[in-house]
Amino acid sequence: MIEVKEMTDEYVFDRCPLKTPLNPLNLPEDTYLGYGKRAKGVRRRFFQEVKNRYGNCVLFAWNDNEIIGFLIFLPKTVARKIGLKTSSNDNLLHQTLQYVCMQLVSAYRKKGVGTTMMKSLITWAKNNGWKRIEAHNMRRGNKDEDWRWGWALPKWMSMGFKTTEQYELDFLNDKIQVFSVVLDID
Amino acid sequence: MLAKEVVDVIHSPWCFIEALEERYKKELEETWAIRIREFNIWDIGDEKMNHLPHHISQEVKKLRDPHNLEMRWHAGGSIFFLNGERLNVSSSLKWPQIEKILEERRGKGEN
Repeated sequence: MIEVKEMTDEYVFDRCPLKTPLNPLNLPEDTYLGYGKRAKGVRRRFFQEVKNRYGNCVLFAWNDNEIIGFLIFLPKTVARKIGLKTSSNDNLLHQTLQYVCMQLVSAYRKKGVGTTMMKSLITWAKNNGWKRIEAHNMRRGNKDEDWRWGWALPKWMSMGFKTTEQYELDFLNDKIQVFSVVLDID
Repeated sequence: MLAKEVVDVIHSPWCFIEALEERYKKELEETWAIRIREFNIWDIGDEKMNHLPHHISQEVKKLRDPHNLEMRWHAGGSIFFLNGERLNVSSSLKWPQIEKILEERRGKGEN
């Protein structure tokens, strides 16, 4: 059975991407050069510090004792500090969480796990005093595309998010529409 | 003796995957006779901005501007400079690309 749980101090997330299920008690050796010990250490310290300061920043989807998905979120102020895209609307700036990234092991995609993780984020945000969740999406031509492995616009809308900002930019000779979507939490 | 060329890298903890292990960093520095300076954007507080090289502080300001849309950054990947000039390298595994740029420029006698 798949369960979504908050990241705990027992395993502070330290890697990306998630290609195979991950057992934190038996972490596989990561041989990819780009993911050396130093990079892992930096990521781990960053996530730990955000968790200490703000409560949490990672939700894991577990299948028994293995992690099969994750959703990363950050306070908007932190997201902006590290240069992630944030909307310029600063209403509720200090009470807004930024959706950052979501990944699932491929065998677990299209089964509603992402939706469950997002619902868990909404619940977590509500329980911890956050008032808004913000995410981004882009459209190239008529095609909606995800942003950081999130969803296309219709899916965000189905989760109750509303479009607040729209930009157009040139990217590699393509015109891209970028949307900011927000969910206000009651 | 000629001054070493300087490769600056701005890392986000988000994309710190391009941070080199120390031994690879030393190898690269020795092989290419360069100096590599790394900046972690999470560690850069406002009070540090005035002490950074100008091109780094300008880039950090740009990255933190909510109106800025830095697609390469958002797509993952660090930002690289060679002697203060921002390098246009694609978003993954940039170090081999940096080596290629050094090789090409030195081949042309630019540096």
